[in-house]
Amino acid sequence: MRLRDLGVDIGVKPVGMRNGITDVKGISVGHCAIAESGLVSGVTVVWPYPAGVEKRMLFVGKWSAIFGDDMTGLGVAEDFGTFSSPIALVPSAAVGRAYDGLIQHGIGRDPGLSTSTGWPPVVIGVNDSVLNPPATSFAVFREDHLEQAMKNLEVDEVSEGSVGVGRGLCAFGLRGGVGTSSRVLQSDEQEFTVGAFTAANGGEAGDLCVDRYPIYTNRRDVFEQRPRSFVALIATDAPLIPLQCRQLALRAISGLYRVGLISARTDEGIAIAFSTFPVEQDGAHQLVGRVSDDLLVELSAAAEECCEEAVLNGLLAAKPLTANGVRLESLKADTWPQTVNKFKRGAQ
Amino acid sequence: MASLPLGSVRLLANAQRRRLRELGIRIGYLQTGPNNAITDVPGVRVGHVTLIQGNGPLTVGKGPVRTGVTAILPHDGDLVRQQLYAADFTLNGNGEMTGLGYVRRTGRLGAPILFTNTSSVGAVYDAALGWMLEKDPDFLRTPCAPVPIVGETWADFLNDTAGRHVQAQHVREALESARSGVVVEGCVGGGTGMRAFQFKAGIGTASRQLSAPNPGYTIGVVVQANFGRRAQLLVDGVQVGHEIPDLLPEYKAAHDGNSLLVAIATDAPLLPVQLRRLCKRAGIGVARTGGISSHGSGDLVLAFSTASVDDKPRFLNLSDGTINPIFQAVVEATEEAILNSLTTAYTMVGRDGNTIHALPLDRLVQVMRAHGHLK
Repeated sequence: MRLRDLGVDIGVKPVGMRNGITDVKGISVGHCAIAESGLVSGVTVVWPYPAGVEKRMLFVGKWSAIFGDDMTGLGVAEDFGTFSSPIALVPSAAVGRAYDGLIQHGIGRDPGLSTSTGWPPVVIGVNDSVLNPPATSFAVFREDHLEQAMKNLEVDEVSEGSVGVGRGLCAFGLRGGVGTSSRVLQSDEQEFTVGAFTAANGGEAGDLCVDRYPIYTNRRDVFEQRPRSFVALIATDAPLIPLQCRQLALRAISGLYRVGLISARTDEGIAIAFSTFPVEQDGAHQLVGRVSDDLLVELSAAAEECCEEAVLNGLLAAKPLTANGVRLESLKADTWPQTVNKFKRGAQ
Repeated sequence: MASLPLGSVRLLANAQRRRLRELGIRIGYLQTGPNNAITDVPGVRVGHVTLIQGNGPLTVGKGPVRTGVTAILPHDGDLVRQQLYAADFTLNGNGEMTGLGYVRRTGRLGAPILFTNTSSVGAVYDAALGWMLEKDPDFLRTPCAPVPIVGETWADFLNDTAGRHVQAQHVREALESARSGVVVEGCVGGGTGMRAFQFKAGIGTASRQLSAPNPGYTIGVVVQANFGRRAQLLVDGVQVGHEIPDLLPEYKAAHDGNSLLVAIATDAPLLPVQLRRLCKRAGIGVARTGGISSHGSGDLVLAFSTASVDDKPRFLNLSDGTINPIFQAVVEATEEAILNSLTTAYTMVGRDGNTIHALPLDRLVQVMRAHGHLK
């Protein structure tokens, strides 16, 4: 059950066909579960362009909500504003081996490891140590988990909840998960899509809001997770220069504040936005694209809506679990959808 | 107080000073622009108002005055409506450059750049904003509006800092008198009271012109230099500071302020993210003069591209793969601009008789010759 199936809409902008990050053409997502040695963990890979494309450099911008995040490929992403690698979301203990795996993958595409063929690898560590002893994750993780995720690519509907890296997450005292959402914008007869993919991890029980309505204010007694870290990936087919990508990432963060994922007790968290619009090389020059300031504001509002909805989709799709001595319920669609809609109508 | 015309003493002092290249010393291997100045980038203009008045003991509000303001206009047109891509970099943060929030937020420059002394930032900002509002009374109504870029360095050892002598009319005069062509260097404008490597310094400029693979692009740098210890000074890699250890400043002031302002202009079409990389290379130019960007320093760098940014949805910009010659140009021009500020500045006596000596050019030439850097 996704949020919209409960009759709850976030924001005002129309959603894409799948209401997922794969509505942005060329993007695919792959998951692989890690279940050995009692682990409830996994890997998720987001491919920014079709896996068959050998060379493509994309513009990217990153924003840290809290800093402390565990991300590789940062030098090129922040200094050049570019990346060309699949984005791997892995348990924190697996970052090195996942990096190794992406290097191997990159060498396979281009022994020279250029910045347009997959170097440097973008690996983001997500701390799922509440459910998974890090030493076990470290011992168990293999490159073939990553490879499997890179093979299981979904170009259509993206699995949500307790899949891939989402298996090990908890949020708001509940089982966390990965989720996705999208929005479509019209501008001058052109159509642009914005999609978000979130790994919801962290957030305190009482903070969970749906469309600004606090649905769990009486649940402050539930399990409090530490550490709390999250990741939000925002993709768009609109042409953006790196600075605009960074703006988009920054603005998307406010969607995560709205849902309550970020608080003073959040330990880490990043948003990364990228444009799939191709940068065409033309001798010493490159042909780039850029949207107007006004359209960037609309794209940002769309990203904000997407991030909020993606988190809630992830929570709704997650399954209850007992692991590592912890019992985690999943978000149940009990009476709050009606309350939220009533509240919304009241507000109007 | 009106800005004074060049007095005969200053004319004489200026006449004895030279630019580094006029001494036969060449930095780097790239070609300079026609004037070896930031104004070699088409459209860029520079104007100074120099305030030098009074001698003897400090009387706050009266002087002696050794300051001014330097205006750098990025192009001839409407700055607010024709904005340029821009970026900044803080090499060391103990300084002020206003308006950087806008630059970072939008990646654009939409206002004049002004260099002055520390106590005059507010007055210069205010006057520059007034100048912008006169041209366009409504520009602040836009959702995110540019504001003046005003940078400062500390001139207290020569100047009546607390007197805050830069006034609105001086700012206006600097802005209105800004022109292309030759840029006056040394003890002028915002650089009037400054010193570097314990020699008199101030404003300096230099430029480079690229050949293939970036034919025709020009990179220009202007600095307001006010940093460095004598022992650090390098000229083209030669330890000139060791060879000329005398002629140290004669002043009582305990405060030993340091700072450097750098503005980089280019007509190469670069994105903000690329311009930020240019800014970082200015730090390498500083290092080649021996500077270490000390803790007390406000070493602030701004770069802009005059290549048109007129909201075209598609445009050509320079590929990262061909950016290295531009990095080289920034490093060379920054180094040379700092050194030009030293070789063009003359010995200055300021408040309380405090004296900062000029780098003696005859001795500089001797040292460079002895090290085989001059024929």
